[in-house]
Amino acid sequence: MINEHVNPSVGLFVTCLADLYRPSVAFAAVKLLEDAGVTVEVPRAQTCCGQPALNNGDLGHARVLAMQVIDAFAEFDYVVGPSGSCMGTIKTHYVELFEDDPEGLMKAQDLAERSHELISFLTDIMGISQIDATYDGTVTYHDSCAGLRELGIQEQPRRLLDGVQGIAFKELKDSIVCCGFGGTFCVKYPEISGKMVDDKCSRIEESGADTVLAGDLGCLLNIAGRLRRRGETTRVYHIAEVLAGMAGGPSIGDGEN
Amino acid sequence: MESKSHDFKVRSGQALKDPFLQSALENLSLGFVESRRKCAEALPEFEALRDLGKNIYDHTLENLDFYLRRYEEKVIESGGHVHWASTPDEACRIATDICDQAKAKKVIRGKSMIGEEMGINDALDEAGFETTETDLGEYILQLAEEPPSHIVAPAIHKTKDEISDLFQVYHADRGFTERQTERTALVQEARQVLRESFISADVGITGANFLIAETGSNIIVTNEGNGDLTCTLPKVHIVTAAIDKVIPSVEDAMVLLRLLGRSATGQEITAYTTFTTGPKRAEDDDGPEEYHVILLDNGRSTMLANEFRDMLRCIRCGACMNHCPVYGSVGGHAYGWVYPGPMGSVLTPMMVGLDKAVDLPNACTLNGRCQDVCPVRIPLPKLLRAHRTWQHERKFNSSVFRFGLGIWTFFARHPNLYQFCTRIVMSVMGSLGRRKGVFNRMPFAGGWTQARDLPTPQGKTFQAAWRAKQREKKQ
Amino acid sequence: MTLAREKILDRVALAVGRDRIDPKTEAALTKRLNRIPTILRPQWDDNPVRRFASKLRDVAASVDVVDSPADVAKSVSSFLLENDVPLAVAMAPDDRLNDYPWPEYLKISRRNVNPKDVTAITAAEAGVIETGSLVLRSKPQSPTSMNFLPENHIVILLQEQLVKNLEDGWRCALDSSNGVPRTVNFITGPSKTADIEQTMEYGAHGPRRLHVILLLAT
Repeated sequence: MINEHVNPSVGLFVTCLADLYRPSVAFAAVKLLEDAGVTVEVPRAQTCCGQPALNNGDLGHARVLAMQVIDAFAEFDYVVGPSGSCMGTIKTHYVELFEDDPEGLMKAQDLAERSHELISFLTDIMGISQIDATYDGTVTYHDSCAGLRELGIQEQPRRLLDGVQGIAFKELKDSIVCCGFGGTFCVKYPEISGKMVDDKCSRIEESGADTVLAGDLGCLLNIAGRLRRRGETTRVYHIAEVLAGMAGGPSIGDGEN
Repeated sequence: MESKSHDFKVRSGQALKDPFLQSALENLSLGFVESRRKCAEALPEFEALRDLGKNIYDHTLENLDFYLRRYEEKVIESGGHVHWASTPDEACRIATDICDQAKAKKVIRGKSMIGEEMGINDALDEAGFETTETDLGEYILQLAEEPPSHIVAPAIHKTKDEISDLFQVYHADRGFTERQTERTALVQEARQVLRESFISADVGITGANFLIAETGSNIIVTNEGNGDLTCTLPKVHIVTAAIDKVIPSVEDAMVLLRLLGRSATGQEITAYTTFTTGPKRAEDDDGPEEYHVILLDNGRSTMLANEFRDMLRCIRCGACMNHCPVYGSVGGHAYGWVYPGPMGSVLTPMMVGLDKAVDLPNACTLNGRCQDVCPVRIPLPKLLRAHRTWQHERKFNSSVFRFGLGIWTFFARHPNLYQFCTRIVMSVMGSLGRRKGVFNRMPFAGGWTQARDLPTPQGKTFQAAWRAKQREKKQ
Repeated sequence: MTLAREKILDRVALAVGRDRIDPKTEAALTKRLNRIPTILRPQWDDNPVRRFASKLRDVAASVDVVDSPADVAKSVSSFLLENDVPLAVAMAPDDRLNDYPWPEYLKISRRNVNPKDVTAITAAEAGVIETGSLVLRSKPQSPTSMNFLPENHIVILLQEQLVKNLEDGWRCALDSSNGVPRTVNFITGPSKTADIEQTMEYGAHGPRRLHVILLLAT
């Protein structure tokens, strides 16, 4: 399904976590997209994909928020976001929300077809196999669950990281095991979530990497928060920041000095 | 069995602090997960078999009325009896009645989850029968008076030391006075003690992995051989099974058997796969004189009619729990009832009451690994979400949480207001935490900071920074 | 419990969306039950005898592949001697076991086992190459207790009894009139358990040792 548009227009789905917590991830996404030759716009009428409502059984509100996204992104050739989780929701769950509403379903299907997670968009749609970037470090990668299982993103980030100069890549044992974030799960069941993220941090430590990357800010905030609680200094970035050469500033959970 | 599922949070907290349980769970995930992976990779047809397995069940469930009747006819034709029970209590009463009529004193059981669901051991005890579990794991738990913590490996939470102690106490009057500490010696001691039970039992009760409509057969899959002795030596054999165990034909059974062993323990096939059909034939030298099947509904016909029908494909392999990071953290007892892990979190609320197991469908990150390994492709995350929707509609979930979610949704629905407010909040958080990079504590975020620090936001929201940049560009 | 039966069947019928099954559907479903199946089965290229034996050895059975009836008898003797078990066996009253030159010193009882018997010898109906499974069925000449009660189980099988898949094994267990016996066992290795600390132990309830003798066709 390689891109067939000339100078395609992309609406950036910022994701609420990148918007509120780490704008550098969204700026990195814009850079990567523009370098790939697309025109990026950021619709103002976007907030959240509705996943918290969807995953907590509040389908009414999930539908309202889904329709808000559908409307805000109606005009673009593609909708791209730096998160497997949000894009998984848009791509796979919106259609389920409108099963009984033919018009909504049509719109949701249309959006699903145009929507992509950032890294897989670059590789699978824009056909990019190498990105000109440099990062100095031993890097490992955590496969975020929704990206991996809902969207099949596994090999693409590794392929792009392989082309980054200065990176020594180390595979993470159990990289496909959930980090324990799970959206509201992590605050509803902090003890279980704590055990899961602690296991993840141990695997990261065992990998010998000084940097851990992933494609979802939720997982990254969880992992960074636990690494810092354990007193570890492993750098934590969104993969887009490294690929865009924008991993110069403090990593997630690091202070300014 | 009485449900303790409402206590999930307390019980999972205890489990996390149990060092032996934690190491047992780690072994479980290393052992079963690895062997399943190898076994699946070694069979090129495995993925196609999974599709076929799913299709077989979908077809069966769509025509369950036909297959149940046909199965019943065939059992009767082969000289057996079929009994129907809507509830566990009814099923137990049927079982105790059969034992009464057989003038039984001693009853032996072959491990089955349906027996746990029925609470059959308690019912038999109350009715005055001497009941012995024969699966080694279940036997250990019977002595310890504990429920199983895994549907395939029921006693994984027990240490060898605990087992030594139990055997010393309970086997002394059988002549085994020495405390055994070696695994082999323990297994052999149990073999000898249980051997007597097998030989003296009047009734043997087993479960069934599958019931076959074509022939009226039931299939039992074991590695120990206890199920075979249970259904061969006593003069009465009772099969307890749920109505969703029926499948059309032997050919279908073989497809599902190929999936079951591989998914459960990473075995191509277990040591013993046994088809039994009716009582012993007149000319046979051994086998039971009576063959009874108790078919239990217990909510399954309701699930057949609603969005949980997919769950009725479950073949009880345990792969979902073996691959579940939550089960791997807290073990089976935390779930508080018969079925733990992802399949349990779907089934338990349906069987013990939606309001009595509110935590179970929520205690899941929806990571999807269970669905990935389910041999019959049950969409477990989707079903757990469906439970959450039911809970939300019935207002079973916490009101504080609903309130919080409501506020979030309100802001999310008003982008301008949202962006205005978040700009202020993030700016404050950013400047407060900028130097250190994390917060150790934060009002309203106790759940987060209990387990980890809260990284500091960068301070500006992307929306604000982006608009500012666009304005610069224009000037 | 006739009431429960009607209630359950009514609920099931409601759930599948029909009061009764119309003759056309009934015929189609019956046809599905009787069809000659062409469904997916595992395939392989290995040598059948080698595969069958290695599958069984993988699950801790001992396997002797022999050329003559005399070697069958020898294999039994050496199995008993090697494992230091009494030279007395319960042998299934199956005529197929008559043709072997059993040694004089082997005490043979042609009957079903009793709990005191240490070793049983039976003849299989088939061997499944797919999984290394032995197929045994209940009949007067082959009582099921023999497969489970003793410590040692010796099974004798002819090369021509090897079949490809589990489905083929099932068909070999049916009698000539296509009747289903009370019990059909697919046995793949000795009895085992990992119920104590997830470590494998053999001889949980059934035989601790399974010895398979496969007589090649001459």
